Amino acid sequence: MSLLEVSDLHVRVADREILNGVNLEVNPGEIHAIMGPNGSGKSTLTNTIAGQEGYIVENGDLRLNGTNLVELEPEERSYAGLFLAFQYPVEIPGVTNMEFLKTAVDSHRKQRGETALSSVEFIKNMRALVTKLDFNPEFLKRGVNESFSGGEKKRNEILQMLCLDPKVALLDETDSGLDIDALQVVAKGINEFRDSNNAVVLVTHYQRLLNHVVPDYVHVLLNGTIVKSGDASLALDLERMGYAWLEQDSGP
Amino acid sequence: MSNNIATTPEELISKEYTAGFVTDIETETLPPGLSEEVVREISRKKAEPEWLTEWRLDALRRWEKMEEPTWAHVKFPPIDYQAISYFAAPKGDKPKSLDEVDPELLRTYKKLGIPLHEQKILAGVEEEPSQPRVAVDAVFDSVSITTTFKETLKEHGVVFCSFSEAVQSHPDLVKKYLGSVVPKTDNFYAALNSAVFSDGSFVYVPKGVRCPMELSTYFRINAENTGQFERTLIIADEGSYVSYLEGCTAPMRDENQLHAAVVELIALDDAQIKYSTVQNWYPGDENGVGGIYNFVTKRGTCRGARSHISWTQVETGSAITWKYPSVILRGDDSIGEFYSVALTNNRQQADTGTKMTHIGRNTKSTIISKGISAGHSSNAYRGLVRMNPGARDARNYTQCDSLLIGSECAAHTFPYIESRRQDAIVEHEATTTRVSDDQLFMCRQRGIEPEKAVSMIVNGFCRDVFRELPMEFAVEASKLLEVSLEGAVG
Amino acid sequence: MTSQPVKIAPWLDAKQIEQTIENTRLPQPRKDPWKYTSVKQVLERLDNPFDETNELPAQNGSGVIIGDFGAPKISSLARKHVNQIANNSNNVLASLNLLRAQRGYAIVSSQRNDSVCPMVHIPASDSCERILIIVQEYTNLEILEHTTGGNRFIECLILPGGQLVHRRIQPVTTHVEYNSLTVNVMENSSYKMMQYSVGAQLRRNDIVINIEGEGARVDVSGGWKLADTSHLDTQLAVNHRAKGATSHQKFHGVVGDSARAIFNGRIYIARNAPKTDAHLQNKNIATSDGAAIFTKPELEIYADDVACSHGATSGQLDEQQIFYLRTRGIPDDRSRELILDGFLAEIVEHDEGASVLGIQPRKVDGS
Repeated sequence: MSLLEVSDLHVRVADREILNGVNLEVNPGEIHAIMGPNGSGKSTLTNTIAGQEGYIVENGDLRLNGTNLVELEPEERSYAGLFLAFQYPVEIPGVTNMEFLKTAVDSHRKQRGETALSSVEFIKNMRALVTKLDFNPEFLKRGVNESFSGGEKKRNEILQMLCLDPKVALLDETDSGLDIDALQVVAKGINEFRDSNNAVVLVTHYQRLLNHVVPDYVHVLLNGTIVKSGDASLALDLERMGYAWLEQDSGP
Repeated sequence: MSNNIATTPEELISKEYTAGFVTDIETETLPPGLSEEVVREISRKKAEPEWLTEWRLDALRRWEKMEEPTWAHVKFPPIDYQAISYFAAPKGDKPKSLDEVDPELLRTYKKLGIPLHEQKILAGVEEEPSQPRVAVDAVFDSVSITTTFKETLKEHGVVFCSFSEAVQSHPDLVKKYLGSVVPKTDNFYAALNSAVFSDGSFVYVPKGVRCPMELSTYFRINAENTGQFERTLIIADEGSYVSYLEGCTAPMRDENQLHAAVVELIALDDAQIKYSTVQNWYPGDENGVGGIYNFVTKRGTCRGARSHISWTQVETGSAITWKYPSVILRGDDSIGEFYSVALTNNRQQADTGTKMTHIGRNTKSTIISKGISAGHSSNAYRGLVRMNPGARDARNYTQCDSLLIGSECAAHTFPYIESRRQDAIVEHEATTTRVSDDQLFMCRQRGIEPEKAVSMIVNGFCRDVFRELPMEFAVEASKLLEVSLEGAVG
Repeated sequence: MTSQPVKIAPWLDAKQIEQTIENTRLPQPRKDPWKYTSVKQVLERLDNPFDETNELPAQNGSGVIIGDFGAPKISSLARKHVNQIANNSNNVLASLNLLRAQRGYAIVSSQRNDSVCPMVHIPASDSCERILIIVQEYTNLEILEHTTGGNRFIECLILPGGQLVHRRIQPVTTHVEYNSLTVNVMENSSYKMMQYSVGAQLRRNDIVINIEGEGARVDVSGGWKLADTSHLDTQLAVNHRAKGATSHQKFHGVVGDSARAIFNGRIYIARNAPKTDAHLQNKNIATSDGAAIFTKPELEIYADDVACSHGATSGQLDEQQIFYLRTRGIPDDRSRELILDGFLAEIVEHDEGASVLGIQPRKVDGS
């Protein structure tokens, strides 16, 4: 069974239809990249999968590990094993990263019928993780994304991903706005995360992250549908030629 | 580590107003009504000296000529001051030791989680380094039931007793300082209190003494149709330090009850007073029926040079709150602070804030106010920062934030700034935000349920103030917010 | 009771207005909104005779109609709007102005806002006046106003899509001066106001801006430089009563000698005004120990989905800044002037505003 299955997905935001029949199948151990120009519907796809309010599924199916996601609340999708790294991570002033992560991890554990980790144990785990990722441990004491730089916010998303250990990680433009050092840290985190039981879906504009995290499949999203799929070489073609040639192919 | 705040919501099983029970005990109550005779009777019951009886009567006469203030952003039907009983106490003489206290009362405090047995803790069985001992003065309706750790404190020269007792044991101090910070006629409610005040706490920390434990008073309203009019006086002599906590609860009743307290703090040279309140008077039900009218005058004076007074308050209770803990910065280099979290839900109304009056040179004040409005409630910050002509190089910083939860509530900010001094610096900032959909969605995506997410976000919003609370109060305050927000998330 | 027409607005009954005044409580001294300014002096001013009134305002270019309330193209608008735009039923001062006013006139724009904006100059006068300004739909208008020592009530209505730029210059006067301005801003219209003030024996400006239409935009800025014993009191209220509107308020003041500056800035956001973006800032610098600054930025908010903030400061010149300039060879006095000028220049966008405040205007391109 595939881990993530998107079939014939039609999504409306307010009165505009943004996605019109997206199909995507992601199997364990795979890395998929979804590319496309601005406004092609990439963020709509990730937000819909994660259950953001206002993204209305008109038609089609969304399954994670066989579970139908469409009717589930965002936290229930999280428990099912879905993780979304936000394009614009949100600030929560005064709530420390540590507190936020512990609350999230404890909620997941409770769902699985496990007891909450003791603070000591949790802090130990987090310290280890932070060190492995070359993050500054001070990171954990600061308010969630509060006065973080763009790069720090993105790293924080990767930290949360590793901490929650999802089945499917959707990374929405996690590479945008990163300098080369931060990009490598993010790539390291993704490679650290992936194994044969989980899957990663990278949503991106550019080829550059894909040099560090090599996808098994590349999909091009244009005007609300996937118009072309291929292997990693497709990303290189897009880098060279842009999207215009596909636009003509798929022409209205 | 601050994560004890985040984990508390789970520990919370019941989300009711848990302090809302009634203690079934025989009470001696004066019949409703206010007159010279009533005032004399209260004074007689307390065996007060003549000067104090006269002081009360003078306050009553002046009060009769005063008008209730109407400037606050709150609405309530007129109060019939003749329908209130001004004295209620458990029957019998004041117990001399805990053994003589009515078991029903002991059960009440146990239920409220207030430790009245010092022996157990003294034995060291439950004592942990992280849980410092707290001395408690337990005030039940109009009288103090018991004060713990008096002997231990006495060894350090610290006087901690009920106000009534202080009138007998330390008349000179009482006479010298009573009304010296909040004059009898300061305002309508303070005048009323001056006439009929019942019990409260008295603290005197002598020169150079650092009070060895936290002092606290726990106020409990139990009797029906009575008002609570406590009077607290804290004097910190030169170079001393004291941290004082105050808690309060009341039964759930359908009628409104009046609580009009006066608190006076005096800090002499180099002294520091830290006064923390967790106010959890019964707030009324979700339709605004019942609840306490909390009309309180709290003021401290930094009389000495380099003295320091800080007010920290967490206000979650009361149907109406009218309260402005203030500091008069008279001594040069003195410091005044006000840290406040005020949460209103359902039909609660709060008009609260502070006054910082800078008189001395190089005086500094900080105001951090966090107002949270939910339900149909109304929450106002009202503040005054005044820089007098002599306040050379005085400074104030004010940060005043409002958080709105839901679209039916209201948040207001009324900060008065008056500067008559060129080199005085006043800075005021205020923002209004809400728990955003984006914040909620991100928390939920990480698996945090909406109610918990809101409580976490609210706790984060209040962090700057919780930091100022003594440890055990911080946890309690955080729990209280959780309870008070019940039902606020749609 | 026989009726008696109001001089400037004969369709209104003076007897009835007098009756209302009698039945209304006078503003309370030493209480908000007259906490720091003597309402008695203002009432006395209204009781004393005013100077003879001036000519009608001059206009620069076409696209605008100016005339007394009785003038042919004005009278129907005047009947409809005078004393209606501002809710003055309980305002004694507004009623007194109406009774005492020697002249009442209207300024009505008619120039589409894609063409050159007409400019009207409202001259200074010591008289008692009532002015009606109507910015018609999708038209634009610019007003330059001078005030000195009179009593002027302006009622202004900006209809949908209209744009009004209003510059108010308040030079030195030895009189007691009271101005009241109410502006109702309709959907997608904009109102931009700049007020530059220097000394007066007593000068009080009441400004009420009601945002009644979605997507409106309001920008109010002001600066003052007060010396001697002058007294300036500005009471600004911006009422958001429609959703999705923006209002930005910014006031900087320099107060010296024994002058007093009072500022009260209130942002009100009604329940039906979500998506409001409203900000207010008031900064003051005192340059002498006799100077007094009283400021109160207020928020009154009944809607949760809003972006709202205010701030106020009061202080003196930054000694570090002065030191920095002096290390560059600029003498102490000149350093202070420069810094104060810079502080005021932040809110000045107009040559005449700059000159009344006695500073060099800051060029938009930064040169």
